[in-house]
Amino acid sequence: MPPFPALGLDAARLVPFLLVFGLMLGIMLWASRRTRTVSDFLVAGNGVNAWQNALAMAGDFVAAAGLLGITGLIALFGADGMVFAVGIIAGWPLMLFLFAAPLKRLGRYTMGDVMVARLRSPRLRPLVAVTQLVVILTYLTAQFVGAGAILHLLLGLSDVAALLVVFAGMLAITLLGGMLAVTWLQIAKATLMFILALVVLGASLARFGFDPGAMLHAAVVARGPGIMQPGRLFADPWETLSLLLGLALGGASLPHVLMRMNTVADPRAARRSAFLGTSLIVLFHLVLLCLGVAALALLQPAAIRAADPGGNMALPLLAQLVGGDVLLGFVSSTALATILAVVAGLGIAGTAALSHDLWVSTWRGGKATPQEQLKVGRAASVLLSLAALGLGLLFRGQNISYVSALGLAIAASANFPALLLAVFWRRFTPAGAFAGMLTGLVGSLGLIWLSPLIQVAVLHRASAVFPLQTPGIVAIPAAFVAAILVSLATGGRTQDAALVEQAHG
Amino acid sequence: MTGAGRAIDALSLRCALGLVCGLGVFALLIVAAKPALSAPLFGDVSAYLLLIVALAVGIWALTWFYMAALPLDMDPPPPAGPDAGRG
Repeated sequence: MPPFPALGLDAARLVPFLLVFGLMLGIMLWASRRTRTVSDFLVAGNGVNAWQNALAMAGDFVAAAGLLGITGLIALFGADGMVFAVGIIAGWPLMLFLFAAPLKRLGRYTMGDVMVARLRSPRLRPLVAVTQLVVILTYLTAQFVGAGAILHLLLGLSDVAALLVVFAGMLAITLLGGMLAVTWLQIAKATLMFILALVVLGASLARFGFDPGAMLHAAVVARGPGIMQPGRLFADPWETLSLLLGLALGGASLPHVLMRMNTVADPRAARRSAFLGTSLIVLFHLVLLCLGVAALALLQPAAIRAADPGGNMALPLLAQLVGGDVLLGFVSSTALATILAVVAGLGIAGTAALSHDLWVSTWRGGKATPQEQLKVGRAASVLLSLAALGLGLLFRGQNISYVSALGLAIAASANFPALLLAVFWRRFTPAGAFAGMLTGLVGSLGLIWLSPLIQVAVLHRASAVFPLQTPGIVAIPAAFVAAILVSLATGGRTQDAALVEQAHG
Repeated sequence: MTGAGRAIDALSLRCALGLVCGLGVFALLIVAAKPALSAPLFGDVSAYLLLIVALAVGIWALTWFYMAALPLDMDPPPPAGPDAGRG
């Protein structure tokens, strides 16, 4: 196995970094000149077409957890690593089936808008905003941690310096351009990601005479036949199901992705872009599987863990092996741009929750000028960036796939049941929504706290009260039960049959 | 709600339920059928690896089926503007 060069700053890594970030900066400046209204800032002015939105959506999902995390899991644990991919892939179709067109018809920007409009209860908005913020901050933490690891590998920065760079990047993107900048960044980096993934895969296959069977055989010989069998990562069906439900239902109700339903012009375009996004995501995850097999065949587990204990640097190390420091530079810079764009998208959604749902709608009673909304939105971006930086510092060194999965599990428990019932069930009441969301939020957070991930790995206790790593299998049904029972107990039809009709056509 | 709206809802809920049930079956198979899934089928390609790829492609196919099954005239005109109807 060839030795890896010592970490350090050199032209071969720096030039690709500057090229990729030059492109991103150009897009930000272009978008900032075009952002004038709240609509531009929050939903890109409804002017993105289906293909562009599909690329942006694919970019939203195949970020650090996919590109780095899943490849790393496959490189360390074999085929079991793809279970994460299956859960993530399933989130898109669920959003398409259940939410794409109804939300577009309702023309709402945020989940808070949907819940308040559907249930006519402004008191729901603060709880929705808090729920969104918890989900967004958890997801942001994973992105920050991944970006810090890349900057450490690429430029030799310390953990703290790396996180400060990510903080500055997030602030720049959200303040300069809003959703328009994020959308075009996602499109650019999704395109770069696909191209580079195929380049790395092609260079890896070249070592095996472009024979995928030979590459797979080399992986099995290097790591044993068990690498292609189930059980190295998932040996308990409840653990597996809890993870899959969290990934799929959470992915279908992530706040920053739901908002993207409003960046296209009409419901037909929303459906089409969700279908195209699904196609791109499935294709890309199959490429990730092949890259994982290449890493199994060409990298040693000890080297992967030495670069990052969670295995997140497997893809950059593979790129370095098959394409030298230049390819390492391009892949790492693109992965970093990927993370920054997702971070910015989350920042926009968090900004909407803070400024629109909490400040304007709750604190100001809906009476705020567009200029005030824009100013408050940008101030909210700063606050959110600071909170994310603090959490990133606390959680640096953790496995980013699992941290992302926790964020998705919280969304699956607190968002999905309420959103599904609001869109499809006429007898859903404000009290039922409150009960469901609170049960999902508190339940998922409580179970995460009681899980081995916190009790054993962080607090170093001998065992955990809750035996599963993710809370979905308990918290999601509990939220549904609470929402349904309280709705049935607090009244019959709600007052807004017209809104349900509008959502379903 | 129109007849088309009801049909779309029924299709959407069936597809969503089918997808979630599929994930559940997959989770059970990983443990319950581990010996069968571990067997190599084509050279080094295990049944497990094939199942994962088939599941990913199957999810995409379900999405394609859903899009193909939707009525062409299902969508009403878009709202008047980006702020129309905001609560």
